[in-house]
Amino acid sequence: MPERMDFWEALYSRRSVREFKPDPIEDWKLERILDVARWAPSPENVQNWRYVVIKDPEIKKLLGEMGKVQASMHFGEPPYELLESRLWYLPEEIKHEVIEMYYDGSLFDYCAEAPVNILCLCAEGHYDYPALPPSSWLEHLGGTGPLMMGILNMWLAATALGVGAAFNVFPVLDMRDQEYLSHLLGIPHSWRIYGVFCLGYPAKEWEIPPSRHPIEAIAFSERWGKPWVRAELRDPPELPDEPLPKKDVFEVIYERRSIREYKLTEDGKPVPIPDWKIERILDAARWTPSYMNVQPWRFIVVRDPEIKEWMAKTGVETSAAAFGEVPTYEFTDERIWYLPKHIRPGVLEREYDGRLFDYCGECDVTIVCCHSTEQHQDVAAVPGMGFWQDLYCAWGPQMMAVQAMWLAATALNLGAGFNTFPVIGLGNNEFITELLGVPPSWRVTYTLNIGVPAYARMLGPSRYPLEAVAFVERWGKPYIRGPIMQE
Amino acid sequence: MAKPEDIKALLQTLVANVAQKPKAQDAVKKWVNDYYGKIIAFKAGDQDFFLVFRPDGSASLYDGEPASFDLYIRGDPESLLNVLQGRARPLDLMAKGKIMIWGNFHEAAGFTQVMTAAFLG
Repeated sequence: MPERMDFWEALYSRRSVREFKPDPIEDWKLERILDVARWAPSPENVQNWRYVVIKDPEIKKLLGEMGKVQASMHFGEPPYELLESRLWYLPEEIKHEVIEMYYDGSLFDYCAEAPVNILCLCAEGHYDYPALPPSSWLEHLGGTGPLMMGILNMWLAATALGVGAAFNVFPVLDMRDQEYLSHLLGIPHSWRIYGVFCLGYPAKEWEIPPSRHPIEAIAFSERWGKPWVRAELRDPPELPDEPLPKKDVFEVIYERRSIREYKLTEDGKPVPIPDWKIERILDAARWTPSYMNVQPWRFIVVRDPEIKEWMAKTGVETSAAAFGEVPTYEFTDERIWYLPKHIRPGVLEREYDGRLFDYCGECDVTIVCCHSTEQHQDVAAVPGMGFWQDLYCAWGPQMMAVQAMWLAATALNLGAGFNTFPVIGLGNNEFITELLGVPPSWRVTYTLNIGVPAYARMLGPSRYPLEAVAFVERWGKPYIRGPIMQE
Repeated sequence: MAKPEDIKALLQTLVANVAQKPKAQDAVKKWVNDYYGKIIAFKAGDQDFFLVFRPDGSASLYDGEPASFDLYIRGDPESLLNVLQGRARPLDLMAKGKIMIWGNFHEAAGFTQVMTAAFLG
């Protein structure tokens, strides 16, 4: 029988496990872990993700060596003090040993000893939806972002199943290593490896969690710089008025939906959500993985009806402009092939005129998500990495944090919808940045909208079967699910 | 064997001592510094409690789970009591799987200072 773990327990217990026992992972566990990656959010249901499961000791050894070399090159460069200050939260008795492992790269050679390596890929050109012009923003939004969200799903599932995991980018940082690996494993040029997700039973009982900023340091109320003070610390304190709902982490992952219609009160206002629930949702973001513990995320909790109304209007205009450009009705219709025929015309119409993205006005809270630009990423370990630095130090952790908040909302029986349209488009981003007082060193990237769902959304988008998105040992050899294989 | 009530009683005494002892209040102020406060949660067996420390040097104990915490210590009541009374090192008990730490482990140092001031100061 599958093991069960409460969502919050999985979220807070998740660690980067880098030392593994040699014991193999049971096939059913590996399948469950891979399966949840398919249920990450995917804009336009493009499913721009592929996974290659590697158990071959030779390939794992190669990945381990590549990881060690790259890590030693990066961490060998900066002054000792810089690295030490980054790891300020570690107890003195282990800190220096850990720093040595950064310097010689041995902290990142664990692909070799992890029983399972999963190469995580997405494609630049796979997001062939013409609604938005090609840009690195689109690449992250339609490619690496959903990939990172899927990796977080896998990480939480692994934690619940007692399997340790860590995400290692070093084996694929050097484009020459990328090319060699792609050649070796038959990966087409259109797909790029963004990291290696390693799995195995933890060698140690415990890992010290990295310290994180308190909520007041990462979340603001209505505008940048006005801390969102935790309800327990207010005067008088506002304590949770009901016990925390407990839900299995797999249930939460499979039940998550994009909620775009929210319940309103009789006078047409959003149904209010207690602050402690918003606090829980913000808290979930804090405990997502963060490269070198940079924590490149900030959130502005917006309830101001005027600002939300502006975002709703802008969401409609921007999305209508984007979807209105799509060449043919059939093109869009084909994208939502999985919906029952009788509701497709209505959905398409709402995409074309933008109403599908007007929900910022109806939900109780819009969380405006910001991530740091290059200035905040002062990790000397990755100088001049450009796109990669932006991915690993900003977009990647930010997208994982959004996914954690989305799952947290689901666990609290609330609805959440991810909407980037209100903050993109000519002048919109600059306007909201100025309106909310966001400094130029931070980038407003998207909104996560939270409210009480108008109705339970049962139907989720259909996803490709595991065999179509996961391969074994090399590209194109499908990962066949256990029950199908037995038959 | 310790029970969850023993942990609660100890934390109640801590809160009372902080209210009475200026040195303990100073330890709280020094620890909280310019933050809005600190929240330390405990799960002892099947019971949850949490302590809130405020910038004015005060402390309060509540039943249940907080929505967000700085440090969350979970374990069987006996192990927790041993940690709180300084008879066992948290790292040793973590290694044995007796307790689990969620959140910011470094906050344990500030909390220990407050405990010391409240009980021994």
